[in-house]
Amino acid sequence: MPRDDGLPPGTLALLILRVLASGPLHGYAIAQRIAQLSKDELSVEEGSLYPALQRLLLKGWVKATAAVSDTGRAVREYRLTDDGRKQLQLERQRFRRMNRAIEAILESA
Amino acid sequence: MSLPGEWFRRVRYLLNRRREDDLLRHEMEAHRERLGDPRRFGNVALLREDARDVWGWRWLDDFGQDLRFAARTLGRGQRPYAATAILTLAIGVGSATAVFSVVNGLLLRPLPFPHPDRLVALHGSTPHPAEGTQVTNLPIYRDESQVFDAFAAYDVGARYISEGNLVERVMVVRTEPEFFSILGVPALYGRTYDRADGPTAVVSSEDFWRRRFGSNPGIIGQPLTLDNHRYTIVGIMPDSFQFPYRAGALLEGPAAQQRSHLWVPYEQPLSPRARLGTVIGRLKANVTLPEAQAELDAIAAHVAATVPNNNGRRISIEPLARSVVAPAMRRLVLLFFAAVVIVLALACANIANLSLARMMARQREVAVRASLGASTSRLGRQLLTESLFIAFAGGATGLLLAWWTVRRLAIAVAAYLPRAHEIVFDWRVFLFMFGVCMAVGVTVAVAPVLLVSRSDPRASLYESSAQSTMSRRQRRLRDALVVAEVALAFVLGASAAATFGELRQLQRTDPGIDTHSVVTVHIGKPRGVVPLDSRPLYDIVDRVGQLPGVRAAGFVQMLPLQSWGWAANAIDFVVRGRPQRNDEFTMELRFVTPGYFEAMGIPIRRGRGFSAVDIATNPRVIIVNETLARRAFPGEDPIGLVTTRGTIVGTIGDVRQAGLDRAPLPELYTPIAQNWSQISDLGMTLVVRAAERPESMIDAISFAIHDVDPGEAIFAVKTMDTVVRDSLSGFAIALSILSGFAILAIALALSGTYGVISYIASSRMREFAIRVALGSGAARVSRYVLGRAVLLTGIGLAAGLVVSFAAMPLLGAAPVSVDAPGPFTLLIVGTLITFVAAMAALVPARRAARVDPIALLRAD
Repeated sequence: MPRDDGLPPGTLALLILRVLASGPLHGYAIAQRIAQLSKDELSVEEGSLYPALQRLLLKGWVKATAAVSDTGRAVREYRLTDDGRKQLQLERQRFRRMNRAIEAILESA
Repeated sequence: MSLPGEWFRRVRYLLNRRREDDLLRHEMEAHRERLGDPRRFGNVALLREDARDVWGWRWLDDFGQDLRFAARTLGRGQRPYAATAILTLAIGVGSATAVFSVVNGLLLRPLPFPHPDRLVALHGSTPHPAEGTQVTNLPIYRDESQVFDAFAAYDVGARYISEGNLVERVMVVRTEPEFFSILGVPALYGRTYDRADGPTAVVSSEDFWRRRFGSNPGIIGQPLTLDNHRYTIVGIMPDSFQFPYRAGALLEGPAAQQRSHLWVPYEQPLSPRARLGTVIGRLKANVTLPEAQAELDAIAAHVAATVPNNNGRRISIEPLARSVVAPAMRRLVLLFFAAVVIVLALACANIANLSLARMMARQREVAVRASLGASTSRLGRQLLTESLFIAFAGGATGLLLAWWTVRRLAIAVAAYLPRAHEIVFDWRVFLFMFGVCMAVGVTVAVAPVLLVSRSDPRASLYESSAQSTMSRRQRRLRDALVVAEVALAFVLGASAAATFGELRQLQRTDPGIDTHSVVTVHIGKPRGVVPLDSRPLYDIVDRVGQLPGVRAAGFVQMLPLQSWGWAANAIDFVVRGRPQRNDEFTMELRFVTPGYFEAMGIPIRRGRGFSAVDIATNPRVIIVNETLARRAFPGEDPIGLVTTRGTIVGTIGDVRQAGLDRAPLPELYTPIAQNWSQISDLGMTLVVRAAERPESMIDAISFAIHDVDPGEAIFAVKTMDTVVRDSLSGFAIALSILSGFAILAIALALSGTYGVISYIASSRMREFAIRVALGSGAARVSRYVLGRAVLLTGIGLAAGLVVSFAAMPLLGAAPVSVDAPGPFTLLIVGTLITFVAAMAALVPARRAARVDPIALLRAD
């Protein structure tokens, strides 16, 4: 679906998977980490994380457990599963291939 | 990437939806709170929906929403519509399912035997049809056939069990030894007999075993005496085994019971010359019917060459399932099914009409919803859900209706239909019903959906209340529907009324006997025990006559209205010395004791009845009925004439012995004592006239009979009133079926009229509003609407009248002959239908009359 944050479809999932590879996080923390790691270049509409997370849950790449946030609210902590790690690898490779292909076209005279 | 894993997670989500939803909500709220600027989070409602949609259950939510909406709108403003639609459907689906279950039980279900497709029935056929259809030379076929596993002939007869003091008449099937192995049904207890058993084995039915032996399994191996031959019980067959079907019906006559009680082997192997009426066979595996028939034909040629006097007989085979149901019965059942499918189609057309009318009224609502963002497919789905809701509600009601009907129907016709106990709700019937509901739902939804998708929402928002979008041809079609339904209702109603009239008339016909307070008792003895003379019968008459409360008693060998056909050619029935007749006719023979005429209430017109004087050693006497007297001796006084059969000592009044709807036949009575040799091995029927309540005398009568002769079996005890009523059962059944269909047709006409008139009313609502605003009274509007209804009904009645006249010749060919309905009957039926149609039109008419012109016109 067209997103006005400029991200090609599917990359949000990739980003989330990568972020979770370093350890389990809850929703707000994921958003923070993405912003932080991209040096504020990417600031997605934060709520859109949640449908993406649900999709990851459906596919079994991510698992959720009950947790409590820093502010004491009941939230869920998401962690990567083994399938998720494998999917992360696949997605990274696909993204690189795509990038190189686009670069190749742009670089050509 | 595992798909099963994904599905598992989907289902788990579905089961925990509420909790997941709550968790998500809390999460998102927590996140949003922590953001400095909540706008960065996005539209919460939309996001929540997106998150939910991930799991793929949205269609379920939509469906549930549609269902709730449908239930609400139908329950609120649409109650007449919903009720009419559901009822119409219930009638259509219910009756179609009921008749289908009969078709299923009789024609579709395979016979309840292993490998039923390999079972065949064998019939004989000759070039001379008069020779009959029996099979001969069966042993030769048995020896020479390669494609058949086995053959077995059987026949059915009444035998008598005498055990201790109790003599009982039972239906016994005599079979060749391979009978049970051909059918392949194992015994419930014990075993079935085969070639290794001698001719003294007997197998009992479960029902008989329950009744007679108290369900005692220890009865296996015990002896049983049939007609004074000793047998040993070897097994009990389960109730589901009822072959041959309607055993009693194979044997006409009094007290034909419907179930086989016992099976026994033939006493000796059948000779090749035996003419066998009923033979079954089992084919080997993978043999087709044409192959088997070819082999039988080849053997028949061989038989014709080697056996003298064969008359070109051959054997033809048909599948056993087909032979069990007579072709006439098959045609009748299929005819019913066709009729009921027409009813269903008309019901669907009605409902389609009804929903079109509704759609007109709701066009504005639909337009609003469309403009709020509902897609055409969403709207279409919602309408489809509504239709399915109605279809299934109607179907469920119809199922209940069918269930109730089928149970009663199966019991009522068990006496006439083979395999009646197999008329059950099995998977085929459920599949049929489900299919019908789906088809109906979709059909009924199609019309409104087409309407919705074609109309431009904006146009109907700006326009005033619904304009009629139907072309002239469509309107004609719609009106024609009502006319057809009214015509059908009229024809069926008139036929039912005519049958009813005929039945009433027959019930009031004087049968020639007085049936008040008369009870009839059949007696019989085992074969081979023939009394020397008729004295025991006369003794019984005396004894019973002396019982308190008994006015008269006497024996006869055949009750009127129950059976007839003991006839003789009257060609040589003349006064002694005169030559033979020129005209020959048949006369019925009856053998009676004194007291019979008084017991039956048959008036003695001239001369006397029989008395104790008329014994074997005295001169032979006879009594004739008036018809015989007129036919045989016209113009003469019959009393005193000495004829070739005896001296006529009296004439009695005519009795309609063949049926209340047939003229009396010529009848000749002789005393039993003077004709004993002719009738000594027959069963007899005792007729007793009691002062009051003959049912209470039955025990005393049985006691008196057994006092004289304990070896007599007593069966088929009925009051004469019951016998008369049973003789009319054909008419009664025809009446029930016709009335049932007539009521269906009237119900259809009712809902059809309602639908069409309400459509007319709502499509011209604006015009009515203007008229009322311009001063025409509200009553005129409703009268106009009613007028349309009456017009359509009138055309329908006229059409029905024409069809009735055209179909008159068909009535003669009907199984029960009915006179054409008189004008008075037609008038009553027509008025009833008009009244019903007017009632149906009343609701829309009143709605039209009560339209508030200001509100309607202002709303544009």
